[in-house]
Amino acid sequence: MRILLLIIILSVSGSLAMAADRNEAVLRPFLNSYCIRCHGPKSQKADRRFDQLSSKAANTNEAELLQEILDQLNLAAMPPEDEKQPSDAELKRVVARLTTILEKTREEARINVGKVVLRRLNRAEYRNTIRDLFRLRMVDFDPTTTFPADDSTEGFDNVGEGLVTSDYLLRNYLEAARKVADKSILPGPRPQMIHYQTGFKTGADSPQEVLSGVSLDKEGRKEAGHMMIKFRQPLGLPLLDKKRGVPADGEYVIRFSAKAVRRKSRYKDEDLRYNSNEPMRLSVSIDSRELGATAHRIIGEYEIPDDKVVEIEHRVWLEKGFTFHVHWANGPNGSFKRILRKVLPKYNKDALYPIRNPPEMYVGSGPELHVLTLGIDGPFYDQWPPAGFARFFPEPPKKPDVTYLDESLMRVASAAFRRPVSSDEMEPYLNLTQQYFAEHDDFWAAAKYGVRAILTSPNFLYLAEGTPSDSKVRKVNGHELATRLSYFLWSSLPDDSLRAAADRGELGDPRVLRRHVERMLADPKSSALTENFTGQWLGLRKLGEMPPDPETNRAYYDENLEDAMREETRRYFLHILNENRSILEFVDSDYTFVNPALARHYGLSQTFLDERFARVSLSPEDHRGGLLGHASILTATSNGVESQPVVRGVWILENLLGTPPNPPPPDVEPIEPDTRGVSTIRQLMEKHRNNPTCFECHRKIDPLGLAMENFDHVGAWRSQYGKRLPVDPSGELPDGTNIAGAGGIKKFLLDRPEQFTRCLTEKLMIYALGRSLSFTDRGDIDRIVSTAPQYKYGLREIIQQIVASEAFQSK
Amino acid sequence: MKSSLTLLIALVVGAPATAAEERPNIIFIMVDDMGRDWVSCYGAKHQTPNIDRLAEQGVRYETAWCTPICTPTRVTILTGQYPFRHGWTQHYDVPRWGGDGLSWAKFTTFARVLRDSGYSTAISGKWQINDLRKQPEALKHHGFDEHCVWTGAEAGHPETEERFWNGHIMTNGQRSTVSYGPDTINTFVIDFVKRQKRKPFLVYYPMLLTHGPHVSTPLNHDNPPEGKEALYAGNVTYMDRLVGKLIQAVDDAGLRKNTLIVFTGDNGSASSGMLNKEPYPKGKGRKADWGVHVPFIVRAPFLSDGGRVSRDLIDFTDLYPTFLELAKVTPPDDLKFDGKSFAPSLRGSVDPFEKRSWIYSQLGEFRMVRDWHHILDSEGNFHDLGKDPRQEQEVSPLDKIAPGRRQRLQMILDRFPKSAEPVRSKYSAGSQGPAS
Repeated sequence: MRILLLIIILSVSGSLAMAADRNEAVLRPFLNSYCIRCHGPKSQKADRRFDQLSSKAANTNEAELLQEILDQLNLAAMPPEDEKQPSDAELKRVVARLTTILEKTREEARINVGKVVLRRLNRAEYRNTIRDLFRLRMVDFDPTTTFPADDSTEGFDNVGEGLVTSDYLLRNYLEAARKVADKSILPGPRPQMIHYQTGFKTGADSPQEVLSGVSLDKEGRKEAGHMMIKFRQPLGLPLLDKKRGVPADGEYVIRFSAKAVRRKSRYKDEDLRYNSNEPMRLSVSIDSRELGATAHRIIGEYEIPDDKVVEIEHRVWLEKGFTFHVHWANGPNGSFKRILRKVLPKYNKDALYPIRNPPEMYVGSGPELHVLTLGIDGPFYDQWPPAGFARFFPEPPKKPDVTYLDESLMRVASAAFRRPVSSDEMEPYLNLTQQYFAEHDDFWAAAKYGVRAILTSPNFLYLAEGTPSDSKVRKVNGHELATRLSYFLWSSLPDDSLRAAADRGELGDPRVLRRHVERMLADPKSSALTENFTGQWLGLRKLGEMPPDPETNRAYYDENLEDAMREETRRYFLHILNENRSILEFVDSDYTFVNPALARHYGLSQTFLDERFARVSLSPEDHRGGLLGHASILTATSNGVESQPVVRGVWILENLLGTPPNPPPPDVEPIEPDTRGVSTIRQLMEKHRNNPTCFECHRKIDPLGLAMENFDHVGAWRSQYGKRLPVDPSGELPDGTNIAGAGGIKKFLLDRPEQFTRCLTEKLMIYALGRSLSFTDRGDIDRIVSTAPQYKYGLREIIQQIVASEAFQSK
Repeated sequence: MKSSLTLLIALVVGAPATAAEERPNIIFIMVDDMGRDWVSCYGAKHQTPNIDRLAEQGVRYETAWCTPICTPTRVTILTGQYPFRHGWTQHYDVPRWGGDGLSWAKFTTFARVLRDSGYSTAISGKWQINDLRKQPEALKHHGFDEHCVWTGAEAGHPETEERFWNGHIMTNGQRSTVSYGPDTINTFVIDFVKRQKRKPFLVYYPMLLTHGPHVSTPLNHDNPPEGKEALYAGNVTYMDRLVGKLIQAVDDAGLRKNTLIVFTGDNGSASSGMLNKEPYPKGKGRKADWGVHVPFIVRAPFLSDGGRVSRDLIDFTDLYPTFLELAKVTPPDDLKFDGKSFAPSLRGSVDPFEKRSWIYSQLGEFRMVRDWHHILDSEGNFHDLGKDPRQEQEVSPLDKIAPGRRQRLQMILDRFPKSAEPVRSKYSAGSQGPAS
């Protein structure tokens, strides 16, 4: 018996040893022949060194390194083309060997390496969680404005490694919790409605004062029955401003009537800095005196007819303390003072230049926007008490007691911690709150206190997952899975339906899980996925950081191109997501979404019925199609003055190819090459590339960026620079492929679709898991990539696959 | 048959044309020596119910200027020119001191233009700018078909001194002594108005009240009050009554809709009144805003609704072009207007280009100009009349806008030419003479 065991053990370990020997036998000579010279004791290019590497992958670092070697060989990026190349047979053998080694290592590591991730909510997630927890409208209420920005790791700001909690942030959490508790705990009766109105007063007791035809009262133009907006000043209700805004959160109705007078007048448009051909437009904004300019938001714009009174009602949710104003959005630009000083003397010889002539000499002669009545009513509610309050404090008794307090707080905690809570666990919170209640004898103050404690608990602030009970069973439980899922798709906590499914333990059934994913993707809250994922994957959050020069890029500003660009990419992603289109359409397609302004920018010939976005078909002559044609990305990868081939090249490597270059070495001397006689950016870059150290990485970056040179700094197509220099979009990639223009890049990507698929899948994984990937996740990724052709690379299906993957469901 | 044909013809002939085709009747009432500080609808303490009613039915102008004394004001009205142009820069009592008076060869009054265009015209009240003994046809030459005037005190004829009790009144050439001058004159106007059947009419009614000597009126004759101010107050009350009578007569005759009534004063008050609960300085003859800032009420139902208060600027050179515009008369080419018609303002026009941005007044070589808020005169005084109506304070140096306004007013002031040669050597700056 024992001898048999010994033989078995010996043979197993022998085979293991033989296996190990076989690995070494294949790997070692290969590394020595083709790699060690640049990655060994004499030189460590790109900080990589292989001579001390064993094929046993003793730790994660070694495993990562082996994985890197494998990747580079697969990409044919290494050895560099001017070095000795292995034969095809050698290459195949080594690649197969490395693949096997790594698979085995992954298996083992899964068992050994602990991966409990503690990641806190980032700013957006905190905001959304509060919104959904207390059913608040977070449009103008944002308790996170003073939170520090979250750091990005691997390009995403929801990755746990980068999310530090400082004491500054903690103080912010305490303050935010206070604000949230005040906002959501609203006992007491429905707030009284206000009705402020200013309008045209006629009456025997108040004879009209007529000054140049404009009725005034002694307070001047603002509260007369017949108000007039001079230029772009705001006009509001003084009573509302005096009372420091509306008295309570709620829905309000703003009513006003207005009329455009003398749209065309004796004054020339250029004198008034005004376009008399446009109908007059009145915009409504909401403002907060307390919060200042940051709270100012335009909520609507209306066209006002000439010489006819139009009555308008606008419904809006207002937070307590907010007021509203109306503005003449396209009125004469510039100050009234300028008109009185510089324009009037051109038209009236009794006016003196350059003094500030009396306004009575101007009022009644130029264009004016008359606001005849202005008023506000509200607040209106669909239900009272509000839903967010009622769910935790249902039907509060007349004299609420400790029992009710405890029950309510348990309800809050269960929702906030995203899992059932036990009374033992909640004991410290309840004791704290009871003590407060006893001391202050104010039930609601104590309730708020308790809520604040819950909102500053790590169980709320962190997506806390328990340590696995068994080193072999690493699956997340139902609540943890629901939480991961909702933060992936919604950047917020699970809704009632998902939570109920988790409570009932249904999420273990893959079909149930799939249905929830479908449901959640169809829910409007999935806009968080579009916003946050594409904003970071495609670098769109950078759009607007380096805006182009207003003098020479009028259309960018006049036609709001920046917003249109963003909208195009958003709609494109949303379309591919909603229709489960192939992700290869991110690379190239024959359609996109534009509005008339953007269509003009792209030089498309479609006609539009109105100003809205529409899907348009693209032909090859349009040079668009896929993300590489989107002006949003092209502008975000420029510096506002010129296109930047290096930035674009790096962008393509990072976001489409998935092979980001190494950062530039810190010890590189600044280059001062001889750049005389250079006329294009291509030539300039070539002069810089002659240095071999730089060339290593730049031979991968530059060809891609230069191929994009047909797109200028705002994404418009050009076939030449300036007047005479033609754009040369040709290039040669490290593996020898020749590309011409963006089309060449697209073809290159489409020829090897698994590369882009892997890139996008990895990005989605990082975002979904909230941690950087390690080689142990390769199994899932490889599987998703290899099965993608079966479902035609559909994006929705990829997301389903990610949710179903082992990585997503393990910890 | 014949009677019905006659009736038909009478109906056709006598049928009134529509108001739009008709030219409006014009009644221009000017009180003597009374400013806003005695008219209740302007904020005075003294009650003037009939004038107030007129304001409720028409437009009350807050900012109207005449000149500080009667003669320059009247010549300005009649010629439509500023004193520096017509030469009558000072008070000059022609009947008392002699001289040629207002020359009809040199000047065409608005009455003459209107009469020549088909109006029936009359003047009732005080003329005093021609000697009617030496020039009995003067009023006709100046354009008035009929007249009922106090001739002014003629040198060498003591009976002509009286204008109130036992007043010396000349009606269409006939001189007589009447019980109480203002009554006779008022009755004449009402009678004239009632008599006009076929042509539009113009009445120029420069009232004798409330000029001195301040004596009792038929209302308080039995128990006259004591002291100048009380007597003056009594005069104001009686004047208000007379104005009320005239307006009533116009309305009773069915002429209300198509009659323009202008009510104003010829210079500041002869006795200090109260304005907005504060004492207001006596205005007559004074070189300041309160010397020329008079009430100005216009009732024109065919143009404007009642109950309006306007801050549009008006001075007395505007009356002539306004009358002509409303009467639909094109002025002859050689007529030079210094003013601007205020018909657009009456119509409610909001366009400042159709209205004035400054008004001007003059007494001798003293000149002043103002806009809606500020006044500037040739002696260098500059005041913010909104904050400082009695021109007592310097404009604050913290007021950054005022210096610019001053510059503009100076520009306007600098435009005006030197005064024309006075009519007679005796009539020159500095000779004021006793108040007539």
